[in-house]
Amino acid sequence: MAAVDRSRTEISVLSDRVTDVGSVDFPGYYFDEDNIWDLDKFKKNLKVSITSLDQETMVFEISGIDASIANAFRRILIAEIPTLAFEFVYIINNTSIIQDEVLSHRIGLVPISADPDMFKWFQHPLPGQEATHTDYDTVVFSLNKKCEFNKNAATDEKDPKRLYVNSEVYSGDLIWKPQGRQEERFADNPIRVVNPDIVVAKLRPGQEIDLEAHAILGIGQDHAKFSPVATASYRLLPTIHILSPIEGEDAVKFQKCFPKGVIELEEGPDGKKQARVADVRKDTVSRECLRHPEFADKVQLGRVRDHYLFSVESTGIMKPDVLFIKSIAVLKSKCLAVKSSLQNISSD
Amino acid sequence: MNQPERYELIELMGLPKVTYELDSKSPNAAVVTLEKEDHTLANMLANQLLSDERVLFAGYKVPHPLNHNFILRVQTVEDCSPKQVIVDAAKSLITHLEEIKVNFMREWELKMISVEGVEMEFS
Repeated sequence: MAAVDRSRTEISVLSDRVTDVGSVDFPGYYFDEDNIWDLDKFKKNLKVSITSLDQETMVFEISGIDASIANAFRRILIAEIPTLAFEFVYIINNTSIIQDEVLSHRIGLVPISADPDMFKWFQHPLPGQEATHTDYDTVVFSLNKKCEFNKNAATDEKDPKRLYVNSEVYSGDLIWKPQGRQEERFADNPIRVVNPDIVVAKLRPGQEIDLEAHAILGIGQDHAKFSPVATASYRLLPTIHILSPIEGEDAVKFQKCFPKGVIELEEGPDGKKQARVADVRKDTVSRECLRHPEFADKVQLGRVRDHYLFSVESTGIMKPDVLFIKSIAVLKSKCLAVKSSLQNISSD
Repeated sequence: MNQPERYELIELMGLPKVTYELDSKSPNAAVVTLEKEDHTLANMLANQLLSDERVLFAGYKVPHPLNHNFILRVQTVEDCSPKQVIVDAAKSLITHLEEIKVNFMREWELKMISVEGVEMEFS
């Protein structure tokens, strides 16, 4: 069985190169096909399926969309979904060995569990003007920790956690101070840091940290601390086409060329072990099998051009499924802005 | 300090969102500049424009990575204006996104039902 030409639907992964990368499904590429974008055709080809979903991570698949849209989702998830993060840190007293600016930076990166939809954008003041914060655009946290000797510690104690009191400052020590009507607005879901166990600083007796941190809305494009995702990535669905049967010892060797669970061995018609593709999603496309001459003409590797396996890992600020819905909304608002702006331009 | 303000990435600062100019070099062509946008929107628009049979050319460039704008150039067939084609492309993209959202929500609801079903079995 010869290698089938799948260049329209798949990217070919060869031992030394990747071919058929560009899309060819647009008008004018083939003289006998129109390939015009059609809503009904798009609806028919579009498929979305959620593989796994929990509080932090989501793995889902989309097929039937263009790479530019898949990439737009990824970029939006990373850089353009608004979240709250500490932007202003007012240090009242810091006698720890961590410099003020380093401490401020560390606090800035602590994720905050607060619904961004409940807040307005903070208006940055123009040069020479005073900043005006309100309870609708700013969240205030305070941190006050002083390290002292533990009077009850054993004389031969070596562990700093037992020897001293408050030897470590954690993100959980940042206490929310409700302003204005925030207490009633967030009565059901008080604002807090996502993870209370992040070490912010270490102290020794006599050292103290006393500060106030103000959080505002922002986007990841401005600073990574505003990004709601730890990772947001996609990959194309791998394909493994076995062109002629791989049997016996070759089948065992072939199975070892792939990660566990990709290739399964089953009994062939003549009683020999035969290789069969079990789960392509587990494949990392390492191309290991193409290094062996015995498999050179027996296998064809590739990736489906319009089938995307997305993986979204949230920082815990919002659930990953909510993030994806928000990314759609952000993209829609961008397209609407283009549409309305152009429609308002009279000249042509 | 020489560093530009971070909010300049997002805020229009009095600039128009879209600037539309007809291209003098070729017929039925236009150059559109979009402020405070990047590859995210540009690539989507350019690819959507290419799937329209009325479009002869569609491409974009980001003139400089520190200036947050991109230039989109579109050339169309005679009986159609570039502006209309871009508006149609934006509409198509909105439809695209609506459809993805509907499909995703349907899948999400099914996932929730299956998860709740498992919990109900164990309880």
